[in-house]
Amino acid sequence: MTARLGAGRSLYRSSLAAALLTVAITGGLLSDGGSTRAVTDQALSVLLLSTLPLMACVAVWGAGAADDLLLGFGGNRRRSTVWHSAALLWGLPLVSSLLAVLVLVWTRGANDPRLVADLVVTLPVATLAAIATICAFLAAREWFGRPGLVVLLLVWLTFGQADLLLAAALPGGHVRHLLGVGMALPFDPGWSMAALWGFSLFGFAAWMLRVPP
Amino acid sequence: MSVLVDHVVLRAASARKLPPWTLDLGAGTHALVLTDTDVALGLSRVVAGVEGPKRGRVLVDSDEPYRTPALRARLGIHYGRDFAGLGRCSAHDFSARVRELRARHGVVTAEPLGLVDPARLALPLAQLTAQERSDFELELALSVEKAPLVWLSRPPWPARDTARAEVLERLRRRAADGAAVVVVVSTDREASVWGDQRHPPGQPDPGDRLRTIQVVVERPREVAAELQRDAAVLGTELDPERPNVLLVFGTDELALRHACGTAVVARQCELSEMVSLPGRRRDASRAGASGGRT
Repeated sequence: MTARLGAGRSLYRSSLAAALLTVAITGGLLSDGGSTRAVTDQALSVLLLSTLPLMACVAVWGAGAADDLLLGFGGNRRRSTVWHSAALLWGLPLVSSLLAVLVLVWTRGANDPRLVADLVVTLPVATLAAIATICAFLAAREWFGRPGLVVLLLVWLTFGQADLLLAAALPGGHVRHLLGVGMALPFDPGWSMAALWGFSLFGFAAWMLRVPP
Repeated sequence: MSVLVDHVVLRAASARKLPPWTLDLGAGTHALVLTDTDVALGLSRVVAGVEGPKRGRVLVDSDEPYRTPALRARLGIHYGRDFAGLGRCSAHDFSARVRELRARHGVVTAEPLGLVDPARLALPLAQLTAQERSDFELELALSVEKAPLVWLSRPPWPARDTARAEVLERLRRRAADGAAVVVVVSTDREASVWGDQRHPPGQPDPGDRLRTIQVVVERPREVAAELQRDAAVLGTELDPERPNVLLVFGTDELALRHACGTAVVARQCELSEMVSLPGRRRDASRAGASGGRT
């Protein structure tokens, strides 16, 4: 039987794997050469569009279900579930932001005059992308179980990265639009930020809708 | 008050191949015989509303405990909760949190029975013995006034005679108030001790092992006569070579010990020793089962 890990431990393990993956991919891109900006964009898009969903999928897969003793005495299951998953809800955006900082500093160099400006622009994208992603994966597990996680990951990795207008139906399309990678969507990037907020709220609502009180 | 377990399929691996559970229980005391520990635990958790069934539903007065926190607060459930995850939370603190939660749902908490030594309640739950944790959980289950359902899965026999009597009295009172009192047991003999109605109806399990308790007591004949009235006692036997030794037979060791203790107190005899002896098969002692050889 698969051991049910706590959300914190599951986050720790998946974060460690994501960090190693990010270091390996960024190192590989740097050794391949090319312009600094292209390497940064590529490394960031791999981080936010591939590593991040993978990390969310693994973390949610291993987090197990909430088992609060107070539930049986009238405790609210929704509150208990959010509390149980709190480590994922704040941990994944934090790890995502830290890895984005690592990628930017590593690819640009600490002395790059545009580093701070890029950090200011990139950090909200990394944070919001992580919140939208984790909420979507939590909702998928609640509605469809673990098979739902695999399906969502495949959708994220395929349609989310496609140069199609359809990609706007997923957070991945908006992240690409905000990073300036691939096909630009036909609206202002500010709308993409709003869309990421929308995806986060929708994912959270869908998750909570499935959890009885 | 009514409890309906409607075509419930449990999530436990050992329960998946079983047919769906259907029980319709009204007010009164019911004994539910479940030999599989996983099934007993799974069914108790589903009835408590702690986890959802794989299929089917549980209704208590037409509401689902799984979807209704206010109803969960009104149920008195004991199923051997695992208190290990509570860390350093003391039994006293946990009890206060439960009381507060129940009060928020308008549930009146009954006077405690005092099954656990008050000094021990200040300790973290993880430091209590298994018996104390079980007694503590039983106390929580029995401390709800006007509970529509009291469900005790493999409940412990409290160590003190007075506490046992209080537990049984409170169960009787809950049933008289209209609650469905369900006690999940593992043997048919226990079912006859706890409940007026047995579920599922059927023949006793022939594999039950016979337990033997050796009691060293003054006036053993009188104690044996007292024990004849107890449903948990299948038979008694005096040892011709040791005048103060009485052997008591039954299938449930805890119930036997309880019966012996009650009989000794009732006859005001002095008890020197009470020990368990290796069991025999029930078939080997049919004479004992049909009235004893006292």
